[in-house]
Amino acid sequence: MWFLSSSLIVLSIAIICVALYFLIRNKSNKFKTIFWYVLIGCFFAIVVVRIFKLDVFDHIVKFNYPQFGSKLRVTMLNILRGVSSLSILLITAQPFIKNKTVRDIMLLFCAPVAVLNIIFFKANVECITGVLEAKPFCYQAITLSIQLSIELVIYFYLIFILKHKFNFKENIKLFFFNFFACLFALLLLMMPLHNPQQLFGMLSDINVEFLTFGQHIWIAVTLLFMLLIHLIFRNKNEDIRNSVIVFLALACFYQFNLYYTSIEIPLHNLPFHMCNLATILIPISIITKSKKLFSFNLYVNVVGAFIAILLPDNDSGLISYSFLKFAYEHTLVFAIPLLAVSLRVMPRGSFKQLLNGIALFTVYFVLMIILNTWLYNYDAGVNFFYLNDEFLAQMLPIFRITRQVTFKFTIGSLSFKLYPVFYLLMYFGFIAFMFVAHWIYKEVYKNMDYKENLRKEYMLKKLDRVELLKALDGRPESEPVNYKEGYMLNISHFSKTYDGAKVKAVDDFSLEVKEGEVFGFLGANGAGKSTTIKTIIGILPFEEGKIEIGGFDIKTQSLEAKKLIGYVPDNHSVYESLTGRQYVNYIAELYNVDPQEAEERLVELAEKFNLTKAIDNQIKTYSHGMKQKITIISALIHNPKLWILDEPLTGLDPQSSFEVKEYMREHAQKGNTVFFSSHVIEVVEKICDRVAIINNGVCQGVYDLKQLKKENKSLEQIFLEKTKRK
Amino acid sequence: MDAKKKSAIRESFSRIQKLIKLQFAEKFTLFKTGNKRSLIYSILFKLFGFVIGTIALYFVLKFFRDSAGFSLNEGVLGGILFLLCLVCFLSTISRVFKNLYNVKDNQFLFTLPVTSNEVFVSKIVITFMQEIITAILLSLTFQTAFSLVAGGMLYPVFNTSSFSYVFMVLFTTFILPIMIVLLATLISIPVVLLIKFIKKHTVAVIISLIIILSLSLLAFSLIVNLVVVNISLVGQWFTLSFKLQTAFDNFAKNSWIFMTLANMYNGVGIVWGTLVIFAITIILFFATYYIMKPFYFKISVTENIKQKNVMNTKSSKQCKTVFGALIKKNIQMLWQNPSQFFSFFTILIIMPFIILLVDKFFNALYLRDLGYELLFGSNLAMISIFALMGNIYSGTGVSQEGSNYYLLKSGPVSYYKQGLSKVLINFVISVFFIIVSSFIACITTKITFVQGIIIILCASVLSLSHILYSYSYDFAYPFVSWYDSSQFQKSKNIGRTITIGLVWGIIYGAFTIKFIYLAPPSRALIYMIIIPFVFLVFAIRSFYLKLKYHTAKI
Repeated sequence: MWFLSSSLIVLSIAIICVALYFLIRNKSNKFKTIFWYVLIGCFFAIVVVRIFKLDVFDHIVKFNYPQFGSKLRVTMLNILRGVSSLSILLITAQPFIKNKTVRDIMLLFCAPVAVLNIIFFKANVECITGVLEAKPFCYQAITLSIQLSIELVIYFYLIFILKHKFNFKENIKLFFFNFFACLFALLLLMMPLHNPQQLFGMLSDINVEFLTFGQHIWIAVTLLFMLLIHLIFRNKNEDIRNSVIVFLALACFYQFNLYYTSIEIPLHNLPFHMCNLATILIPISIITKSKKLFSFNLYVNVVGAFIAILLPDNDSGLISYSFLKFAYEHTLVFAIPLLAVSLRVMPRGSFKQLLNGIALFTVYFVLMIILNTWLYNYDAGVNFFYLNDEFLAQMLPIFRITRQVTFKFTIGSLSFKLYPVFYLLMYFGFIAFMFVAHWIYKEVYKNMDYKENLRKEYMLKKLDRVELLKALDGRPESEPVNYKEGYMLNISHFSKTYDGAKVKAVDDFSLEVKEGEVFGFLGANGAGKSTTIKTIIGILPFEEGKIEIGGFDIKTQSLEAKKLIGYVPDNHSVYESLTGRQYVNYIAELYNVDPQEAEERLVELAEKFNLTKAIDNQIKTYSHGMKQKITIISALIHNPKLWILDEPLTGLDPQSSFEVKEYMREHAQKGNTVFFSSHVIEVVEKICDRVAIINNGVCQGVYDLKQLKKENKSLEQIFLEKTKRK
Repeated sequence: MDAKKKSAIRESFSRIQKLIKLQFAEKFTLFKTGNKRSLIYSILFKLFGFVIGTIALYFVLKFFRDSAGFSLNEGVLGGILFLLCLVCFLSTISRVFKNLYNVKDNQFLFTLPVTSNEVFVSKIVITFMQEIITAILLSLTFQTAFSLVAGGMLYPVFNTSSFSYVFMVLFTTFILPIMIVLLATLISIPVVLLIKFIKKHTVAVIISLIIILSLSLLAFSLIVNLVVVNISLVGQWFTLSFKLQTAFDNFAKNSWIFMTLANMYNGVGIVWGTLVIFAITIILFFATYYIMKPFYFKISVTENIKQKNVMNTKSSKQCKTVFGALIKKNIQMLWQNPSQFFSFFTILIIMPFIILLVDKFFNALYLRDLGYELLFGSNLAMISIFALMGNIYSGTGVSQEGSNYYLLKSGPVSYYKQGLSKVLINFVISVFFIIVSSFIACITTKITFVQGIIIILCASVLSLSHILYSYSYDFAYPFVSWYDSSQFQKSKNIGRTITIGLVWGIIYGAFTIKFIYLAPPSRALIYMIIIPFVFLVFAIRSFYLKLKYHTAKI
């Protein structure tokens, strides 16, 4: 009779396949795809029916029940069982993923296993029913045969109708690497949870209670698992990332529910515990991409699973079936929503999603109160979300106290007992945890964005370096990349936009400043002078354009470029705790100036700027003008090739102003360059050789002052014309 | 009063109002966020803090009442009100100094068309508003917790739902601080004048420092010597509780003012009492106003003139390396600005004293074997916590540069050298105080020399990790102002550094004690030593990455 039933299965498969081939092969692709989904739908339906029928396989076989044969036979049946679960996962995942490797696995691995299941059909039915010499046409046999038939028809459809092509012709090594890596990972994911216990025992001396070594291992494995998935798949394409999350979600569903009904379902075993429900809700939200439902997963299920991991309600051994089922479910419920966000399959948590999560949690909580109190009348073990028993009270004394307050009433023959204070504490406590989770998510997202920005910066810097080496063309990096004879400062197409600003602070600015000249930089307040200067000296970063000082690029050869610059800022800031001498010596040390030379120059400049008496006073006792002078002295102490001053004469007395202007000319005459910004035209006219005018971030022109004098043109007129407000 | 005078008073009030609005906008930033969500978060966070504080105090009071039969009566309420007033008074003194005298806005406010008295009154009002916030945090939290434990039907001493009780709670929270502010202001006048006198004379400065140091050491040794020998917490708990109760009862007998206040909670003499307090407050206000009138302008203006301090710096040698120059500059700045040194390293400075006090207490306890093991773990935990909280110097390594931040970026020095110079100084100072504290722990308790070395090693490595992490965070997110170098004192990175240090320290301390308690000694030791090094690896990586790739923008 068994041979007859197996033959019937084979025959029915053959007939269906042939019929399909002739009926569908000439239909449109759209029709073929729809029919494909229908087939998968039928397969899923029969799997669901089988889940909710009596299936004692794991209840009996997992304990190596001797009447089912030798250890080898039982082990083989377990392996078949595990791989069959894998087939179920791969087939039902098909509508949601587009991954060729998975189809290769289905055809090359799962199809032969399906054939083996037909060959060992009798043994399978015996294991499912738990009865030796089961009837060949019993309900379980019929449903199993339908499932196997549809499965093989699906494989046939895949090869002959959808014409799946294997990839190994392109790159056989890569093909086999992907194939076996995927297969290994998926087998691990869908491994029957009773197998480790069967093979290694329960390891009950390592139990998994709060703060035990076993719990440490569990937590470490969870974190490692999440880290590995994130690291391996974070840079893969969207299809692969999506496939990973879909597989995890479906595996979570199957691994919990496939083993669910090994015996009849009592009320207390209904999947209403938060994490039990999560195994159903998570696949739905991932597949349908429902943000509202996902908010429940991200904020409620993750928190619930975390608490379960922290306070496990399981005292079995480390690899017992009971613990593995508990751990698998809670680890995946905790990990999947987080991985879905980190792999960018689902959107990040936001405050709105948190509020959604709170709303859905409220609904769930109220439902559980109702179910617990109502179903308690029929089954004293009902305890959804731990609202009914003393587990939490044993863990934390505050729960014990609040459970003393009760409220009872009856409706007909049903009695209802409520713990209002306990419920309130649980509810608000959980919501507080959700807020904490939201805060943690925000911090993690900030960190992730930061790492991503770092990675981009790293790539940019790498590119810059490559360009630098190319430009140097074998020369050492200490040499200028683009030295132009006679020119000290070269700015080309420089633009700068501040964060959050819509308008550019400086736009396409180009300038060349020669050696030995005093160059003025004129502009109204807010024109972009300080921005340009700060970028030249390296305070502000920029993305567009190039700035070279003495041939050194300020971006890629910043240290060499900065050694040539002496800068006088507009804010006259100095270290006020130091004396004038200490401050200048410090600057001299930074620029590696010879001590003797530095001392001589300091004495000379202090005398010149009338600071000799105050040089050993703390700078905090200096007036505004004295601070300006000490800044000027410190900028000159290393005799810079490019002396940049930003509004240098502000706050100086007439004598000191005169001295500074004189020194600027002197410094330029030694072959150095002076670049200074001002909005006082008279000063610029007197001492500069050339002038650039900037307005609204755009260079309005560069003017040779000698030429202007020859042509009898007024710099003031030109300035007013160029900076006229429109 | 004639119309002219009335109009003058009205105008004066109007000016005071405007001054208050101006200073309120500057000092109270809660409503400045411009973002409704941040505002809601901020308020919720503060409310949450209030709730947590109340719950914590509730459990503390309940513990005292239930475990030792401690009676929460009027004497206790009066005693604690006295302590609260004392704490508020001390904090108000420093606030008065900050708001009235040592504040930059005086230079601006006095140039406005207002009188100095109007400026003074507006500042008093602002100080009072700040004091309200402190009162809510301390007084209201305590009184709410007290009413939950000591009041209602459960405990007949106080009827906390009565009008008088509720009225007194609000009165002591919102009205009593006025008196405290006025008292503090009155006391500040002679104190400021004394300080000015002392500052002018170097000898007076030296004598004052000696006196303050001696008094502090004397007070500290008195506190240490109060710790008796052979404390058995369980055995002597009831004795301790009885002694505390007696102390409160004696206070009740001798302190008429606070007892009257406590009795007002029960409605006894509430009307007269309230009127008397109002009268005293009004008298105090006018007294303060008229006493301050001739002094305020002179005191607040001259505070801003810096004293000249000539130093002999000609002989200072130049450093051969840039790194050496950076170290030298940082040391000079700390040495020549002692107040800044103390503000950076206060927590590290008080660490040995706290360790001494706590270890004296531990030493006096009757310990069993596990207690001795936990002694080592507790000292390691405490020293680590303090060492981590004391890294403000590196946690504001870039922010403290203020407007000199440009030197960090324009100077031909790598960011690593600049960072490492600050890290090294903080680390050396931290290690010094860690060694001192470990030495104190070893000589005060039965911790062995080897255990002392382990404490130094673990705490130092942990501290170094935190220093590197804090500096790199401040480098990435500095709080700098181009035009005002003192802005860094408002930097959020200070609070962040201390908080993260505290959290790291508590986590490490908890793990240490847990391992000692639950794991075999050898495994516990390995975990204790490994954890700081794991932190160090992450900290070095953070330091390297942030300084390499994160160029902060100003």
